[in-house]
Amino acid sequence: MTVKTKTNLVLDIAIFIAFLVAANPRLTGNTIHEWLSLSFAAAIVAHLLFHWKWLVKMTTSYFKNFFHRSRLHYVVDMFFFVAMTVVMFSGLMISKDILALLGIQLDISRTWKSIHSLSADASMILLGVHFALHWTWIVNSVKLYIVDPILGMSRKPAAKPFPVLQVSQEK
Amino acid sequence: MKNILYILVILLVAVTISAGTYALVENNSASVETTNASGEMSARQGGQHEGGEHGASFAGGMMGVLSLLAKVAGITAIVVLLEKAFALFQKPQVSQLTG
Repeated sequence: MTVKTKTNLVLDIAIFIAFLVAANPRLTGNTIHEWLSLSFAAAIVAHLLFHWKWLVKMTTSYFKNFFHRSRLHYVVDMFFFVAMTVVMFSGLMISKDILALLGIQLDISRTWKSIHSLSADASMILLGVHFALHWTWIVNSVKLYIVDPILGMSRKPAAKPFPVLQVSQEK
Repeated sequence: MKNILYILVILLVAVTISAGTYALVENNSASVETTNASGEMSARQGGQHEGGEHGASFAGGMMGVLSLLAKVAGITAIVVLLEKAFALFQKPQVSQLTG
């Protein structure tokens, strides 16, 4: 799958904003928190699809060049995926709205609540590490597609002069 | 068609992780429930008290977003700085080898 950097950047920014909002149920209320988190799972799947080739390459040749930097990326991303999955699943187990809509009623146990908050904290830490490991790509992409165009708009003088209206005066 | 297969693979991995978590938690919590029944009661009461989380507060929520943003930025900054520090330590070794 070939996807341009711009598309990747837009998707990643959208996922990050969704993460920030979904991780704060106080901002949205519980119902939006649950549904946003569920759609966030779909966004993560899309993110993984965009990097599918890299994922397959890393999985199949992990031990060939064990001390390469990309192996660290892979391990961090793997733990991040596990943490996010546990957040989603434990969130479903303590869900008040999604499961109620499906007609399922579960006892909300304190264990699942603890797991939900613990895995959310782990996800936050791993997101920070994930960002750090892709820092060069983030900086370059943001500069190329966001900062430079904005600066260009404010600096660039008008490229073309205003067209002069030619009024033909008929005598 | 290929993408559907990839999505199924991702979902399969996610389901496996979820099933593993469920098995771990339910096995452990089952043993707690049999040994301490009153503990479960207090957990349920705790759940009822937190009914207030259904409500939203924009100011409080935005503070939470900013706090989370600051935490992620802090962790990112620490790791980036650590990477740069490691790179600084590694550079002299490279120059010794090449020089």
